[in-house]
Amino acid sequence: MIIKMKLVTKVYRTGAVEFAALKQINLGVEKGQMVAVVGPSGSGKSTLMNIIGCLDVPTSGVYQLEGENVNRLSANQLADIRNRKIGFVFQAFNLLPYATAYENVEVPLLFARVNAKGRRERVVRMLEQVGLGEKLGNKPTEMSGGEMQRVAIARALANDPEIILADEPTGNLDTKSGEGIVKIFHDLHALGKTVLIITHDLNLARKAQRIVKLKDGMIETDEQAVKVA
Amino acid sequence: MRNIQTLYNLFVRDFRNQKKRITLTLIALAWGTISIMLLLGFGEGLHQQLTINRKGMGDSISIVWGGETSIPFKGLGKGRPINLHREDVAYLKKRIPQIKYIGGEYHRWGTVVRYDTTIISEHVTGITPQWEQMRNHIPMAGGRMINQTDMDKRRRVAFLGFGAKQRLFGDKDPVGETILLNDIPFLVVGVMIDKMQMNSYSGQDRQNVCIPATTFHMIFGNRYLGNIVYQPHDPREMKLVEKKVFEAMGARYRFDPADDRALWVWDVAESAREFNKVLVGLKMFLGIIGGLTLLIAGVGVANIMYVSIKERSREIGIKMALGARRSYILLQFLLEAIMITFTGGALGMALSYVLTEGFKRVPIESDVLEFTGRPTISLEIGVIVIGILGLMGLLSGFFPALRASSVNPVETLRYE
Repeated sequence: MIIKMKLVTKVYRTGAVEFAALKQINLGVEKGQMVAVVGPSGSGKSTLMNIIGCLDVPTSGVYQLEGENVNRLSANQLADIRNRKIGFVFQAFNLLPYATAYENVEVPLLFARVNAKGRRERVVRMLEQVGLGEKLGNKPTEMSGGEMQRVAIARALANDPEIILADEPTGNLDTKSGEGIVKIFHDLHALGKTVLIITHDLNLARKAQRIVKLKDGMIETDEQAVKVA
Repeated sequence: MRNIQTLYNLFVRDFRNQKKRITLTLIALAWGTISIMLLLGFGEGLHQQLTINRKGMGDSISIVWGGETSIPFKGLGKGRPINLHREDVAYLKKRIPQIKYIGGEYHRWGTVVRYDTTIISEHVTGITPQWEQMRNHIPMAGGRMINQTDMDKRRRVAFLGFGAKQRLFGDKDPVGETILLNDIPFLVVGVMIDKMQMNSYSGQDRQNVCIPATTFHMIFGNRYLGNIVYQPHDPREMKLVEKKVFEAMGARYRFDPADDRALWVWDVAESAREFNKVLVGLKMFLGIIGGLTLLIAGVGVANIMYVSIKERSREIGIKMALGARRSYILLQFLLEAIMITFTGGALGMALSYVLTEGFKRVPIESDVLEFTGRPTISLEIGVIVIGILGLMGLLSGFFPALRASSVNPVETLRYE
């Protein structure tokens, strides 16, 4: 199992007020699975993704990524895991606005200390893979939403991570662009990547192997996609 | 590590986003740099000029005058006057091998000096050829200083200070002319260069009419020397030689060598050292004022960095999600602060250089400038200012950068 969570709880404190975003979650994801995480806002989807993505650590419980206990890792080790094992795709694209498509995809490679030649090859290949081989020098302001999200996916794939984490990747896109993005995720899944997608988009969710439904910080249902209609 | 190009792009982008704020900060930095550079440059110019001026009278020499005993010695009471005799010069030279040059000097004020129809009342000194080395009695081209033959033959030759020459001869070349001292004819053999002299005893050298000490004694018959001047081989032995002078003279005139009233000694090198301390203090003071001005600009840099971090917290979050370590974020903002600091600093340094070089080229006739010199920017000042700028960039960048590196990525990436 690539992702293994046992009794994971996350509590946020705002002054004297405590709020449990996740309550004793048990979750396991096999390598190569495509999982959709659904649920109403405030159900803990994003918190779950942040913990899986090593951006945050659980308040209690155990989270193992490829058999390694994440709770015990230092901030630098977590940064390295985010860099090499996880690819993030966000609803708001989160590209660096002043940098070109090329430069944006190059960022994780720079953190991974890949040499200049290796970076160039990788950046060009990734952008070609998402169909943007012609727009290397474009800045985010010169691209459509769908193109921006494809740059973001190319960036997420730059260091060839095991896991792709996508938070509402089609939420800001029109239907047509969204479909293009969904197809890319499917292709990635077909290539053997582990893909986790948070979504409201039933179309997208239905195409996953497995749907995990959260409610009030707990897993309400966990079932195969074919059963959801 | 992000490459320089990206860092530069970031800087340019930041510049566009907050043009007014960055421009103002750059101006503040340039202004602070100019003020510290010019203040230090002024201190340096002053130091150089004063060092030149101070050397006008002579470097590492001591001047000795006769005094009065203040300690009873071998049955002799105190209050005995001690006078210097011309024989003392040879005696001291023989007794103290550390002395390089030594000579006795006579003075006579209000001597009538005449050339043609011009009559002036002058200070006449009887000196020895060593004054050229010890007291910088350097002749102008076309003339010479008093030499040993003049001394031996008691020649009636005169060496004129530049001021005395001007009053007697105006712009005319006096070498080879004859002047009258108390109606006794003297041949003018040379004129002293017009030197700037900051300290003096018995008046400024440029006003004097100098004749050989032997001739002076023969004509005016002074019993005692006005003073003795000596210079040791090694300037570090000033104190040792001074002690030996007291011992030798004490033995000769029977006074206690510890009696510091028996002779008066002015150690010029000692006062130069004291004076140097004052100058270094002055330079430090000027530097601190400049540094404080620059500090205000540093606050501006810190302010810009804080604002920039606030505006860029999402970018920081994105980078962290992509695997940036905190130290990388810290370094990035630190580098940006240093870059802003050095851009402003370089601007200020260039302007200060232009200003001081320009000022050097403007011909200003001023007595004030003869004392203060002109602001001079040395390599040393450049290094000091770059050091201060670097330190300030680090300091003004460090705390904002620390804030940046402690941004919580989960907070900043939350979809709004």
